[in-house]
Amino acid sequence: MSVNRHPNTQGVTIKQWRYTATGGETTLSGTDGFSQSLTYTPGAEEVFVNGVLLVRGTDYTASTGTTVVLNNALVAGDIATVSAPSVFNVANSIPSSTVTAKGDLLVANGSASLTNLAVGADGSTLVANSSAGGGVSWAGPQFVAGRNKIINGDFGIWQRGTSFSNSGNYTADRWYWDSDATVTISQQAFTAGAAPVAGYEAPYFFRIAKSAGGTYVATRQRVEDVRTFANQTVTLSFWAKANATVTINPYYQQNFGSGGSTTTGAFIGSGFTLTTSWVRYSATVAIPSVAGMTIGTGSYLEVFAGRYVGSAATTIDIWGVQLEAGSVATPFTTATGTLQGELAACQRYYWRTSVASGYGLFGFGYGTSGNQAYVNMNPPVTMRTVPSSILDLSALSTFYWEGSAAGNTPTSLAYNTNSTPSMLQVTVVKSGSFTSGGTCALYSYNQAAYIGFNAEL
Amino acid sequence: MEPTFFDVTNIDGSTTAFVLIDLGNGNFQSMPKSVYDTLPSNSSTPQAGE
Repeated sequence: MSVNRHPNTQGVTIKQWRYTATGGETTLSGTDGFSQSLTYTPGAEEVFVNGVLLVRGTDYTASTGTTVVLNNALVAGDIATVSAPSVFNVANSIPSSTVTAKGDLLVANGSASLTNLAVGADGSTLVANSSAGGGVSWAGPQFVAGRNKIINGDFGIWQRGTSFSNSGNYTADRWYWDSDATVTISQQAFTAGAAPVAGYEAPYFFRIAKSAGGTYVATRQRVEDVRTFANQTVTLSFWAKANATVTINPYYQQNFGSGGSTTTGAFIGSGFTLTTSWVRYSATVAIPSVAGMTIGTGSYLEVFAGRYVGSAATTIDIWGVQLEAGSVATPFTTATGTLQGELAACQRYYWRTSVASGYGLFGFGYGTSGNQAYVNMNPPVTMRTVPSSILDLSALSTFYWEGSAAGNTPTSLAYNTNSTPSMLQVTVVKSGSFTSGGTCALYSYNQAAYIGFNAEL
Repeated sequence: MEPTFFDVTNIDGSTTAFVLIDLGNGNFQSMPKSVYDTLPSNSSTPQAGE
């Protein structure tokens, strides 16, 4: 027999099991005279004998859900009643077991129907997706330009060459190195399909090959303006491997520029132990505020990524360097997200003009005397500042000029202080070869010819 | 190869002494002599290390 105490609503029903004793029974179980089986939730039952409520644990034991054991046997004609509320579900409740892991989401998969959407990969983005069962799905990795403040973090741009052994120089664009040991920095090509991150097929990585001896080797990049990431938590991430187990210790510095406050810095993370396989490493650091600091010209945030202290011979390979706000290493992207954008970003700091093939023109100019001419060259992007007075040059024998006399190799080429960040000028020196105010062209037939302008920090 | 010194005449008529330095491997650098004179004796480049 069942009684619904709230007949007009969904809720608890009270099931009564009723039994007339024949005498001597101490156990109640089975089917009563109304075809009702004895079932109950232990602890929720009420047991009556002749209308008197018995005391649980004193007068009876009810632990199985299907039997009740009485301490005193019934006598013939006693009426034993077990009253048990039904198990019920609250309408429209969501079982907590629907989600199974940290980050899981509940999403609707139809009208009044919910399902679990498992957490996405780090850095992925939730997007609407009508094809997905839940109407949304995780998309990623997302390559978002502008998040990474490291320029040429994928080592795709190498204007200055592909192998370097003179300490204290730039290598791949924006990447400077120095060491007191014998070191060769070189461009290395990935085997197609072997780049360490899915979805980003990079052509090159950066190799530091250090011979035994010396005490350190460091590669660094200066991010323009010390205000960058000031008072923010940032995450440095990169992929790396080595010829043997080796530990590198990335470091950062805040340099406040000429006339600015004293440089400060700290380690990023507590060191990364590289193995012989590509592994992505990351560490988070809080960059101090610049409040109260004096910021001069040419300030920067400097990141030493491949920094090894020790005398052992070691080969360290690095790729995919990223410095971003926040405490999560999100999927790698270059600073600009495009090849042309990354080249332009590099050329803000260094521009090398060269001869691609055959005849190549560097620029036109005008004679200022019989012995020299000024030749103008437009950089493809406005440089960070007026370039250094130091020109990178190929051998003079690779250049030719055309002026008032027959073309010939110049005696010298020099930086001209008339240069601006958006118009560069070179002085071509050759005795008795020009006319003041006359036109001059600087060109080459040699593919080795180049002129480089430096506006690095 | 020894550095090559030469003079250029600026647009205002003044003269600046320059030097051309052979870095090896076909690479050269041209810079004012005043900059060259500030370089450490053991350095072939103007960029100081960290």
